[in-house]
Amino acid sequence: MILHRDDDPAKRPILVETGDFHKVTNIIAGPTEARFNLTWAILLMLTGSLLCLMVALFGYLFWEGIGLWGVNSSVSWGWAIVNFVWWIGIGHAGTLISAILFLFRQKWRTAINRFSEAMTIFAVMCAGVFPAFHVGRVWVVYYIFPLPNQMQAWPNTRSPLFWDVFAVSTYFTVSVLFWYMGLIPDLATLRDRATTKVKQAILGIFAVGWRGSARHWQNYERAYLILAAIATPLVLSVHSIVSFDFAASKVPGWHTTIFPPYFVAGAVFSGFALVSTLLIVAREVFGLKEVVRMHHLENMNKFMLLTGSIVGYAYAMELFIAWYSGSVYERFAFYHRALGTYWWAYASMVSCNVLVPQLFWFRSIRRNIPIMFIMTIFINIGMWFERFVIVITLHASFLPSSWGYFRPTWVDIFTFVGTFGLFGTFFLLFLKFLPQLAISEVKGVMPESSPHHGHANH
Amino acid sequence: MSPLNLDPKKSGKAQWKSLEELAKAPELKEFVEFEFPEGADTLGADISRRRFLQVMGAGMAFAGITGCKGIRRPEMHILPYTKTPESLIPGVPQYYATSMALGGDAIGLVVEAHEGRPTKIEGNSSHPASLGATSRQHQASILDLYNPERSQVPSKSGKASTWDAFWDETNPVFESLKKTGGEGLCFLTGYTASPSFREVRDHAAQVFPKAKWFVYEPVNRDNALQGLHALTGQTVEPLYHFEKAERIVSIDCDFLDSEPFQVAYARAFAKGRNPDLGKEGMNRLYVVESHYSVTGGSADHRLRLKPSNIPYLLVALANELQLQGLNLSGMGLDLKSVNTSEIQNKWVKALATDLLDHKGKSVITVGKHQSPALHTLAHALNIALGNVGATVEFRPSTVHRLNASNPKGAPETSIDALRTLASDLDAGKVEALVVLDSNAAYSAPADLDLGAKIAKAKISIHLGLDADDTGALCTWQLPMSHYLETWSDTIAYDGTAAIGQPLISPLYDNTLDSAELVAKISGYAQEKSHDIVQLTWSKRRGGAGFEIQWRRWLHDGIISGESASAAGVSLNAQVLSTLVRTLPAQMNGIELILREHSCLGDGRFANNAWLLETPDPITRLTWDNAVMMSPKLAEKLGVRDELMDKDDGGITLGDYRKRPMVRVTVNGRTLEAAAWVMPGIAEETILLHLGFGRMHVGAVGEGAGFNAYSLMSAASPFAPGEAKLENLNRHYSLACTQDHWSMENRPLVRDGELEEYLGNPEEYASEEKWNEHAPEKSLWNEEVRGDYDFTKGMQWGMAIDLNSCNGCNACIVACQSENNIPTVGKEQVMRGREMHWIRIDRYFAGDVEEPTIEFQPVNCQQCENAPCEEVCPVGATVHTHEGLNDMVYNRCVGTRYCANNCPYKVRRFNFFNNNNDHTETEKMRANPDVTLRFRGVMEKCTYCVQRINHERIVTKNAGSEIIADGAITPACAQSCPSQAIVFGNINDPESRVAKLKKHPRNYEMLRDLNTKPRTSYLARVRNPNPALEKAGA
Repeated sequence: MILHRDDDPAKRPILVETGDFHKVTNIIAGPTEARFNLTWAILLMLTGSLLCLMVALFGYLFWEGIGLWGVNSSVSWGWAIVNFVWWIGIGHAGTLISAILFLFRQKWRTAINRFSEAMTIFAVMCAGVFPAFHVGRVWVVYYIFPLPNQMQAWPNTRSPLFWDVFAVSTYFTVSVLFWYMGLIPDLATLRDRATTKVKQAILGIFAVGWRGSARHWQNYERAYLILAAIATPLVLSVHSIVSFDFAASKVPGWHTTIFPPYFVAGAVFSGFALVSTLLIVAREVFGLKEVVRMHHLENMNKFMLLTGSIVGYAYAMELFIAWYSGSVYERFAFYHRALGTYWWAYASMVSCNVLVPQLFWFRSIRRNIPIMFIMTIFINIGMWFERFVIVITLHASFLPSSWGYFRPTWVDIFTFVGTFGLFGTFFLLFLKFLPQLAISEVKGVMPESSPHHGHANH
Repeated sequence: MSPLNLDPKKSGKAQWKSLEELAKAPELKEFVEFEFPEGADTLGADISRRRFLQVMGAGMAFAGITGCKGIRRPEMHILPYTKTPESLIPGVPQYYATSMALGGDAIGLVVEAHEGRPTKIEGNSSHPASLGATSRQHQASILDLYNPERSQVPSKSGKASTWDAFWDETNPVFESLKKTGGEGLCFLTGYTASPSFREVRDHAAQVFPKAKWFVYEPVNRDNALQGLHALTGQTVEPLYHFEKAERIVSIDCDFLDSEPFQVAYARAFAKGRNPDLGKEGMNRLYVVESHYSVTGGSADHRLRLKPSNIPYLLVALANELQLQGLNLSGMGLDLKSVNTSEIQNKWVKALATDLLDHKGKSVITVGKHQSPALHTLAHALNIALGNVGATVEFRPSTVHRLNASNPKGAPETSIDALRTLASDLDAGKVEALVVLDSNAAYSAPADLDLGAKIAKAKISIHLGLDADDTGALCTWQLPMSHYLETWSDTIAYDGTAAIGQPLISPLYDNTLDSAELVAKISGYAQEKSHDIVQLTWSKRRGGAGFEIQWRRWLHDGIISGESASAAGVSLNAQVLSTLVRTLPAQMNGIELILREHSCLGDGRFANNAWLLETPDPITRLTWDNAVMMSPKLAEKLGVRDELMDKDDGGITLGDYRKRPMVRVTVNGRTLEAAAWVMPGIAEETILLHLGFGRMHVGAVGEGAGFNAYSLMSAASPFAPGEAKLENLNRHYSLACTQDHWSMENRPLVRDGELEEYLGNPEEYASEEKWNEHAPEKSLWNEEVRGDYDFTKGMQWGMAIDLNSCNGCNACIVACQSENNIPTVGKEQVMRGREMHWIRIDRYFAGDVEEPTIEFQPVNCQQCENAPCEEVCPVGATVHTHEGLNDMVYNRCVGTRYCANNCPYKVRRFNFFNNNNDHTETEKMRANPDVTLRFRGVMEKCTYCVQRINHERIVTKNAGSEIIADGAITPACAQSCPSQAIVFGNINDPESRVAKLKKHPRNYEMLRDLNTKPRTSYLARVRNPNPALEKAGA
């Protein structure tokens, strides 16, 4: 609270300057109470159709088998794992923004935290469908959980996939809890404003009896802080463990110790990119320009510059280590990765992830909405290619006799496209039915909320 | 009356007058209304629309459930034996000896049968043509038995009919033919190896004295027979003893893979290939050929020559031998000098010296596709070198004895037979044409146009396993019995006789075999195959005790005392003096050669999924043939970029849909076919494999490949002449299982030269020499883990000798048959999803135009530190206490992580349900000891764990714990003609495998990963001629 007094007003949401708590409530809660929004409805129809496409294609896959995808004996993991890692990576920004920036008392996060937390949850959902459906026998996928059974067969605790299941599910659970915890005061606000019995009842249930008493606030702040503290290491652990799927294997090009930090940096990188993409759109569509200000976007861009450079360093370092290792298999894997059959994927990756973000050194570009938008798209594409490049390393492993070529099928492509439907649908529902910004937090950073407000000159 | 009160306390005795009165009681009424509400049986007016829809919806849903297959399991019937056959224990397989004829060659087999259905073919170790092994085609022949598309009933002009109708129609024809002495009756068959069939045929010749009998075998032994007949005046064929030969020269002779007696030859060659025999003992193989053959892959020196230049190389060799002191002119051999290139001169010089140093211990062989004159010359040289009687013997030709119209006369050729038939048909002289198990309409040279002429016969009858191209053209198509359904007898190449006993009664009623049909037509003394065969042998070996002898023959699988002995020879000096004049002329330009396909043969296996999906040994191409050409020729034609990587590392990855189509024009006939690069083929040579592109073949082989017979000419069937090539700028998809050629300098196949090996055997295959990073020492005892101790009990291991393996693919098909491995089809192979549990990796080394080949069979290496086991999240792949890496299909969820982490890439995933739509007959084929895998699970080589467990039970029942060495043989090892694969208990120091693992040539692939594989390899040793090494050829 003390920090914000010295904040540059240009860095605060304009909302903060309204000087009226009620007005803030009206602005943020308003969209959830509006009856109809045509743009929203059209977008929902679009994403809903894509979601149906995804469901249909998973149904088809369930019926026919994994052979509908392009995977083969050399490249047993294909787009499903690429998409999984990509979506999980995207899911990193939310928690990072919410938890770590919260712990560091970065007040500017208020503009985007709810938004990005929601994004995290939906991105993890998109990620989660892939490992679930990519297994050959989806109907027994529960074998992967340690469920007591009469055969006394237990999961193999040595398998990184087993760790993965726990890492991702823990992350998802904590992210949902964290998000929900932050929503409780706002849900209570909505409940109090609700005009129908049904709305009141539903919001009442989810507001868990929030009355805004001092004791509630005290418990709330404590719980939020604890969850933020729990979520923070998860940001690091999830993608580290996802990277173990590769790093703990024997496959040349996968078997490297650089993967955990490299994956985490990449995840934050791609997460920020997608948050930016969505924020830029949301600012236009939902008139959030007053909330998400240029300063916020610029901060995001700086983050992308940092993480993009870390990723670039990692690319260079893995090439160096491959050469330095002296292992013919490692050397070949990286040489082939950069200049071999899939050179175009590597080239796309490097140019999108390393070269493109360098433009953010320039302030004018950091503050140029159209360029920024295009760049975030490039970064998202680049990060998808990064995962593709890693997974596809399988196509040329130890025995040249077994080198093969991977080519996606239409089912691969449209299933991935369909997950945008899953993401978009949930995201649009969130935008419509829940406050897009944390009302209580916005109020918390308003000058009027400071105990010293109006006494500044004393 | 007041309402009845049922409480006895209040009213005392309850009284009522009527049931109506009773019904009015309020308590009862309440109960009744509760139980049977008023109006429940009628739809009340106050029922809401919503309620109505609810009820209807629920009703529909329940109706749906009953209709759903998922709720009720399909009804299954168990059919127990009402009378169990004697000696049959359900679940315990039975083995019967039989024999199989294939293109005039024959082999002894032992067939495994489960509850009366044959499931697996093995070689018969007491039969000299098999010695326990088989070829891929023998292995796969069982699939044809269960082929659901087999011809099942007689059909007339494509419409199903009956045997009665057939006989009603044809009996009068044959009766009238009997009266005319068979004028106009023609029989057409392929080579037979059956003396019984010959008996029946001879009888038919008496009944129909004027009938003509044509024998056409598309890929035949005519040239060798003619060549030797010219040389010796006798109808003899050469039998080689490769185990005794120290220097072998093969002139386009693929004796390891596609010559008659190849299975036994491969064994003999491997025997002499042992580097431990020392500098003189180990054989040296020189191969001269145009295309790359399997035998060429084993060569120490391989010279690629244009087809028309090959004969002249042998002439040059003869000249050189004479020059170096071999007396050839004394034999009457008059040789003109021929022009040869510098490399050829060096080659010939070194070779001649080497041969003269090994007189009586060398052998020169000539391939069956080469002209008779070349066979004459080669064997003249063999005689001069003193090889005849030592490494070569001339045996009376069984094929001539059984097939020639005059067994005592000169050799007759298949092409002549077909020519006569074609002209007879043309002249309208054929009243009735009976085609017995021959697809001549497809396999005849194109210029004879036999297919179109068949219609000129008044009536034509085709007896065949399926309604093939010939069957489709004949009036009648008759269903033939498979060799596993009928009695037969065979004479093998070396003269060994065997009885072929059926394993199952014919799957389809009233199928006949060739002998039975001819017996019926001609009124032979016996009509059933069993009686026909028994009659033949009782005539030959009858008398007292025949029945006992007969049983012994059936049991042993060979007829004792029947093998032929070597024939004495006398030379025909006149032939030798004019020999060079009869050699085919040298040609300019691109030459086409035609060869039978390594799996489909001449096309008889064109509907066999196992063989279609078995990769070609050299190109690893499946499901198609293609125009094979050298990289240079591909470049000239402008198709190189579409076929090859820029760095010559292999076939361009990913472009399998875009293989260029070319048009081949030879003698005015054209064929449009896909092109493929075969490194090592002579520069101005193109090769097409026969056996593909059949018009009437069945659903499996439909659309596979291109019909190379359409370019065959009667004048020179296998080298039709100069070819013109055109790039059609169109594309075709080809399915290849190995795209990359180079080993990328990785120590996977280790090989070197004999001198190197003899100089320092210990270092030869060592990790220190081959690996920059020798494996590190483990910090803990890796052999004992938990309850498992790899130092105790039986520990299974395998050793594969790369010096013996010639890449013939028999193991692949044997494994497929034993382990119920599905075929996946061309589309799936193109996607890289073939299912073979054992594959043969083929690498090219050296110059892309003249490379050497390495073959390496790779199955599951059964690593002690298995990378697959670590990463499976559900523990579906686990180790056994005997060191096997087991797959638990029921536990597998199909994450495929194991396949990713397997450095050897031997794991195979069921991307689809590969066992979904088997017909009833196909279901009979499966080995009941091996699970059929469902879609979504991983599978891989198990070392044939079902055989291990079977033997364990047998051993335990016999009161022992330790299984004897050699008692268990996995399918791959069993079928291997050269015995390259040895399996056993590595903990038993006396076992063969343990000894091999201590051999200095033994190494483990990717040992530096510390996977500790149980499959190890014995490094390959080449034995090049130092004189040629220096010459740089």
